[in-house]
Amino acid sequence: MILFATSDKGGTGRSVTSCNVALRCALQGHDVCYLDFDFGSPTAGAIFHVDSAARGITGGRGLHSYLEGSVSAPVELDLWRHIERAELRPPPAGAARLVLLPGDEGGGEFPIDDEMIDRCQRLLRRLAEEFELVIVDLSAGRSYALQLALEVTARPALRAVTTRWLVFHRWTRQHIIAAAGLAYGDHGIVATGVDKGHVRDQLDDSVRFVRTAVPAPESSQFAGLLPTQAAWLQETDAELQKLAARRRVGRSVLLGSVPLDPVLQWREQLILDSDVRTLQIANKETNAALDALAEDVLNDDSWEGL
Amino acid sequence: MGAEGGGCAEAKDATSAGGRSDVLVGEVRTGLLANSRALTEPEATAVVALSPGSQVRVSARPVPHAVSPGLTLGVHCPVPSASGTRRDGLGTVLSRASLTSGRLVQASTHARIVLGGRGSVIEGRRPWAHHLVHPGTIEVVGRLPADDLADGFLLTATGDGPGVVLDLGAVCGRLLDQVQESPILDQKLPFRARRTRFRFVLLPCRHTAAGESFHHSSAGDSDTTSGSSRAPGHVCRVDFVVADETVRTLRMHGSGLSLVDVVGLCEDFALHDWLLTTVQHVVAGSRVRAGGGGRLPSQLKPVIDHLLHVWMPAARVGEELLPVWVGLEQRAGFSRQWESLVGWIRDQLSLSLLAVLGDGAR
Repeated sequence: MILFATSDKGGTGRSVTSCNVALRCALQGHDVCYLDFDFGSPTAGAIFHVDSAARGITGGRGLHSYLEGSVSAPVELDLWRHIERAELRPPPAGAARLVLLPGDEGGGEFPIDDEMIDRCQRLLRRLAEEFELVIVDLSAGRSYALQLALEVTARPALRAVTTRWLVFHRWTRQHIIAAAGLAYGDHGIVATGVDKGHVRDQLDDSVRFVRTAVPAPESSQFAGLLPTQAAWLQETDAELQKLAARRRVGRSVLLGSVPLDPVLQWREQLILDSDVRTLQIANKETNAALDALAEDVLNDDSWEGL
Repeated sequence: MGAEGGGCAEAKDATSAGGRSDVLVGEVRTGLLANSRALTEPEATAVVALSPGSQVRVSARPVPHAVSPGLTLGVHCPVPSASGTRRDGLGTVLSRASLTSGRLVQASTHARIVLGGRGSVIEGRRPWAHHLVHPGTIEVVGRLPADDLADGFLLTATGDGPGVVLDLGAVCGRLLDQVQESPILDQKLPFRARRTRFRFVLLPCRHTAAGESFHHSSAGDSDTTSGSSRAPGHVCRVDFVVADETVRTLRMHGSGLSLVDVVGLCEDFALHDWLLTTVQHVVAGSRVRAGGGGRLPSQLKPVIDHLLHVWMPAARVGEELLPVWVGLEQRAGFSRQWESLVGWIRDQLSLSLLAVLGDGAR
């Protein structure tokens, strides 16, 4: 399966959540590879604790260089050898492959040409052959990367490969409206995809949403609230639920939600069991939400059409 | 791919007279065909019919095998060199794709590189017509020691840096992609398997007394065999190295060998190495997460369905090169490892049957 991770706005936690999902899927024994298509600011290296590729890879060997045609194949980093976290050394028994294809340091957005589409299609098809889950982290908004993704997945060679779309958004009024616009609005994923040859219903069915930084009124974080504050929180949450349903980003197309967690927000790195149990800096709800998300991503039932 | 050409490299001696030496370099990439089931013979033939008008070679025994026509690609770029010497090569490389058992796919690319010897430097550029009548041959302008070329080819990681040097791996990988993109394939793989890269070189025999063996140690799993038969074609030395999870290298010294046969040997070798690597990987994974209660680990089923029957070592290896297989078998123990894996899988199967019977009796 090829999974495109996207969001309308920046700062949704799209990359950090996707990286955590990738790690968890690999730990559960599924071969995973992660492509950093955020050409303007590749950050996957930093999230995965890979110092040598923290802001993309140097030497013109990354995805950007590959798509431009200056290298015949992009660098593939075996993350079990590169993640600088002691808890993951040696890799846990039963862990499957986890590979990062980093972007180039100092890359940028670029217009797409036909050869680039060919190269991108060839790469994605090969990765889908070798990996159960290929996560492509697209930059925020209606970027060239998104155009490219919609273009290649409409090609015959990739049409047979399962491709799915995840739209990340924060749990606020503006973010809900923006996420709905990115999926279903003018020049959104579905509209652009149909222009490029996708079948509307199929593409529509393959889009799911992930809510991030969701405050959970019942969690211990909010234990000290005044009754008025708690009531307000409940009310606002209910209003947002209604808005989401009206904009077609309601529960039926929700793949998961990740609670508000300072560790996820500030550190923007992998959350490991030790962060929850030993260091006790991350919330166990966050850990559970990421686990559930990883499971649902690979579970066909959660992608069943309505 | 470039212009279509015929056949395989000329079946010529690996060494030529006059101080010149020829080095055969090549790469084979092997993977699982992107289809949910094994292809039938007509389907397999259609998938590897890569150039219109040229015949696909098909054989049914001992396992079904279909080979595409040879494809030539013109190259003009520096050839690899361990010392960093820049020497331009001009000529063509030959590639072909094959399907085994309608299930495994291979692409192989090779070229005979003709190096100018002392005083007999190949002068200047010759017209393309000259190169086109010698498909699969690259002529190097200027002096370059054969070992320097071989080391450069085997040891440098290709495809990772800005490609300025002859990169057979890229040509080979591209061809494998082309086959896998065939519209005949449904892209639904029964399980995921890594591709392996198998790089090989054939160098002339060094001038040593017959039968003298010259061992040296190489990094990684290294296997060295020495043969001393002085038949018209003979192999003096073979080094096989498992460089990392997916890269293997084979360095052979020999003379009077048919290059077509050497390429065939390497393809066969790469195929069995892939089988062993893939099944080992699946078994290692299922040992860690053993189902318990005698249940058959779910990962093993596709291996039983699709791979176990494909093992047929040296099926397409000629008489001359058979000793190479035998030697590698003795040292690396390919078949012993395979039998042990297959035995383990069958035991798991028996255990799972017993468990099911036990459940039924309860």
